[in-house]
Amino acid sequence: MARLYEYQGKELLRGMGIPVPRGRVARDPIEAAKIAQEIGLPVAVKAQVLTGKRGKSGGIRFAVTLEEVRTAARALFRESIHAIPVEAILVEERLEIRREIYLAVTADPSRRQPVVLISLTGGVDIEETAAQDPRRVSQAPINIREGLLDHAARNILRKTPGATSADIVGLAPVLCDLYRTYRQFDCKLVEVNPLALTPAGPVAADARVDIDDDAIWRHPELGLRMTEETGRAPTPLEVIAGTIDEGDHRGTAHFIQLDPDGSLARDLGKIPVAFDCVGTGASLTTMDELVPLGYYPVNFADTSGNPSASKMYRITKVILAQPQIQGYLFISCISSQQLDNTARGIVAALKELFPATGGQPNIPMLFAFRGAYDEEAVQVFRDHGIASSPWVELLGRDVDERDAARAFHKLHRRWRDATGSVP
Amino acid sequence: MSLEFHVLSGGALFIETTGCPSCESKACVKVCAEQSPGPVLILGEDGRPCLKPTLAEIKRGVCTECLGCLLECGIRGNDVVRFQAPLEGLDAYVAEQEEGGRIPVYRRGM
Repeated sequence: MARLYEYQGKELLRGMGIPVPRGRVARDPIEAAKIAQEIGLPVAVKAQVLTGKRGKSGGIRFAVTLEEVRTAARALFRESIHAIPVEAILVEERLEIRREIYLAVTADPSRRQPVVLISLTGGVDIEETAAQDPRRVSQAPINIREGLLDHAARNILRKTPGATSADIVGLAPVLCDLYRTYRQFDCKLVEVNPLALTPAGPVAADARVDIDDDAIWRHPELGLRMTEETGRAPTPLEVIAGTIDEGDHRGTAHFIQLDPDGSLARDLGKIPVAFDCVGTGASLTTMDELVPLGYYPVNFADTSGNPSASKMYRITKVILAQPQIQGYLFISCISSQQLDNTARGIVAALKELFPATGGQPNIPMLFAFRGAYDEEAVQVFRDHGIASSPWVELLGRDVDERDAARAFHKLHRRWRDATGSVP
Repeated sequence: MSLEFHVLSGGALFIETTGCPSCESKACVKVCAEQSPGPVLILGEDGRPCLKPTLAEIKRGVCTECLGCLLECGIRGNDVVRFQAPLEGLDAYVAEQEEGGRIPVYRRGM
């Protein structure tokens, strides 16, 4: 899922005919004040971070003077919202809000249809509202072959508890435009929370737009990069890793940094290690075995679905570019994927990254090949002289995740004792 | 003399074939013959590897990018196969990390 920032989402909505407040994004307090001067005071100053409950966390401030704009901007740029640093703020006109409405279009996997969500009592704590009093959030599935036309939108609103005639007439066009946005940009979610009812009519006071990962390539105009769903902005390495699958459908190379700067491992007193698995189950099980032994996987990676060797080559280079690592593990589940190809990709990367030693690494590395062509995979390592490295351990299908973690622990201690490396 | 072809992932393989006639192993051709859906590299009459499918077919994915030719030529042949695979931004990322003193393990001394 590619989640857009509020200002990007509002640009989309504006383009689809949904009114949004006048405003622009700023990267520093001076720019923020300049924008406020252009659009007129008072203004709202809003942190642009990819997280929910931003208002409750102090990420939205109001200013009636330019000095207040600068002060608010300075404060926000110094802050982190839910541990995400603020790197951009949206400065926009402060709305005269008479009433708040919640509107959204999202995918309903159980119906396999888009569904419209409406709450005429606003959207503060919408999840809790829906759980406690489902009648306050009405839902209506949309048949994608028919789309959402004005008369159908009016019918949905008519059935919404508490809807007045003015609501039905005023909100139906917004609902239709919201649905068009959802479809046109291959969204998983388009949410306006709140839709502010102002004297001038309805205005999207906030916008959340999530684009379906698999459709990003259809929308070069959005300038998005394919990355994993993490609920935060992708790290530079995640963006680079996201390019690996872009042009190659053969297998997948998922990569997420769990501890990008190694600070979490350090705080926990653990040894940071890099990680790649064939299969998420094997990955999580191995992680569970590694942590009690004193290691912390600084990334998650899953290279499964029979990726090409060239894909393995690329993702291995990305994984090993993490500067804080003191070891690397590759573990396959009992896999049907052609593991000799997997091995070739890893070996090609190691030979390129460690040319002076013909691919033999300078940190402990454990490879557990279990599944189709596993013996051939081990043979590739032998053929290229990497298996004879004192810091390489090769395991086959006769080991489980616990065996692999323990073998890595033993290898790491041997490496540490021999090299004097301090964990 | 050289042979160059572009593959589905966006990468490209380059083979400097000048010395290939004297190569006794012909390892690139042998390993390619083992790959499904069949060989991309075959032995030409001049003793050099040449392409069986068209460049367009290879670009569409006929080459499985097993990297067998790259690796086998490296240890059994003349080490004349090179693979270039785009990883946009990785070099810049590593350089930036190094400026901040965060050096990847493979860039440190052994």
